[in-house]
Amino acid sequence: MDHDSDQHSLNRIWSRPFRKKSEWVEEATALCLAHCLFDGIAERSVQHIVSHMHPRNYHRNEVIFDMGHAGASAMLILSGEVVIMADTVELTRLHQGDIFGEVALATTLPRTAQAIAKADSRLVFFLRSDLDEWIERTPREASRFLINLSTMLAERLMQRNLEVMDAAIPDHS
Amino acid sequence: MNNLPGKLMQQPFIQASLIFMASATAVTMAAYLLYPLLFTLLLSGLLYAAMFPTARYLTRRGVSRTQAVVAVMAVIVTIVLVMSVLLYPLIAAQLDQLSARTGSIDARLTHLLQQINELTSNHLHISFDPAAMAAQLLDSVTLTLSSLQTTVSSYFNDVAFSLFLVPLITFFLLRDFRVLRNQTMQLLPNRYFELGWMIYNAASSQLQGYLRGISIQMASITLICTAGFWLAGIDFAPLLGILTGLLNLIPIFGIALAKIPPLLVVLLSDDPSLTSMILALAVVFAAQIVDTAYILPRVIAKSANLHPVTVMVSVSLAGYYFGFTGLIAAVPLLFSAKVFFLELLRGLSDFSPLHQQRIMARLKQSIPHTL
Repeated sequence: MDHDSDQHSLNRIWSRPFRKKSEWVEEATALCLAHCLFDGIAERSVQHIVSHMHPRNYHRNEVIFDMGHAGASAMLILSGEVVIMADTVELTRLHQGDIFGEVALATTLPRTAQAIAKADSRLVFFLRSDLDEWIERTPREASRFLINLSTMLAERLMQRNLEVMDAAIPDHS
Repeated sequence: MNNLPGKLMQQPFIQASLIFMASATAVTMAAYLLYPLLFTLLLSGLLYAAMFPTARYLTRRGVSRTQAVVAVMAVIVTIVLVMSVLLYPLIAAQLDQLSARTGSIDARLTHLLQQINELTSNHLHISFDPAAMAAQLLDSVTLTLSSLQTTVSSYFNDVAFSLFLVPLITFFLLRDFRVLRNQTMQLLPNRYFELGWMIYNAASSQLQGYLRGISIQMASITLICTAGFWLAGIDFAPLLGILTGLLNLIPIFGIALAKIPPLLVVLLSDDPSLTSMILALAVVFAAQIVDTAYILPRVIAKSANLHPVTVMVSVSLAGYYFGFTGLIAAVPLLFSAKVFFLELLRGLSDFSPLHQQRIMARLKQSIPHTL
């Protein structure tokens, strides 16, 4: 049985040395479809985009990105846990299906927070260059994604403004 | 003081230099190992850069990747086949003819010098001994022609050998390069994954634009010169057109070098008249004006912004060590190295602790309540 399995693996390597491993694609597609960033985008397109993304594994306490560094991608959590920090302040904890670092898809500004894997994690990177290609290939669907991204960032800004107002005027709420 | 090497290693310039040297060593070793296929691979890379936008355009229009690549390759193979059937036998025959003519160079040279002597003594009252001068020039010209004929023959033999492999390699590059690239980038450690992609994207867009530009430039000059030489009644028009197109790719030297082959051909023709020499020069000159005025600003722009001394030294060394291929490939390779190093330096600077501290300070100043 083991011999057959090895033979099968060897044949796969021989026949297509650069074959894309697609086990994670189905899972990542399902998670993306459930996320607000991909609202209104056809499943087939999401699957196509996900198949161009890049899976990476992180160990516990490994830094994913640092505050102030240049950023080029958003990350989807396939498994594990990620904590977002600003200086020494923990801003939020993220889990399977969450997407973070999405600001880098909209701008070339440096990262505004630090991300650390709090458990062994598997992430999928969605690069800005992949988004650029998507915009060139199917502008209508990509613009739907960009509208969702703008909405998400605007909602976050609104939330932030409310927090500032609450802090400035304690009886505002 | 003890920590000085560690601090130096954190400097983006030192890091970029070390990575650049390691990459250059790896590329040189790969080039040494792949030397028999180097020309084929370079030509495939050039074709890939030139054809990739068309394949991408077709995939954007809803054509599947494989169908788009097959369509693009059908065009390339057709062009290659037409060139092989029509052009190669013609060029080979012309080279043999050119070689045979070198035997009677003394008589032709004397005849030409007599013409020049008549002209200068009538108008400028300066005269010389055409036969003596012909004898003096004969040795060096024969040597130059012999070496040029050998170099050009071996160059076109390389092209002929590559004609079979180039379409095949270009097909797989167009179809699988993306997957191969992604798998290679996956080898980067997590810490450098985003940085690696940033450097790659910035460098590749510049290099693809440059390679596409020089392909268009080469094809345009070749077509203009071939048509011009043919209209001017100069022999070996297609061969001279290709040679001028290739030589014109070399900045600074190219503008002078491109004029040598047509002049030599006129010198070796049955009627080496001054009019033919002026016409040959006029064709190259006209092509170079079109190149400078229309092609360079539109397709290459300021991309190959290299210092003239750097170009002169690299072209001379590459020509000395690698012959005609080195002469042509020197500037594109030098430009690629420059782009790679500068993007590496910029990327590493964006990821340096100093840059991070500067950004943090700016963030703290602009939104003090968040930190």
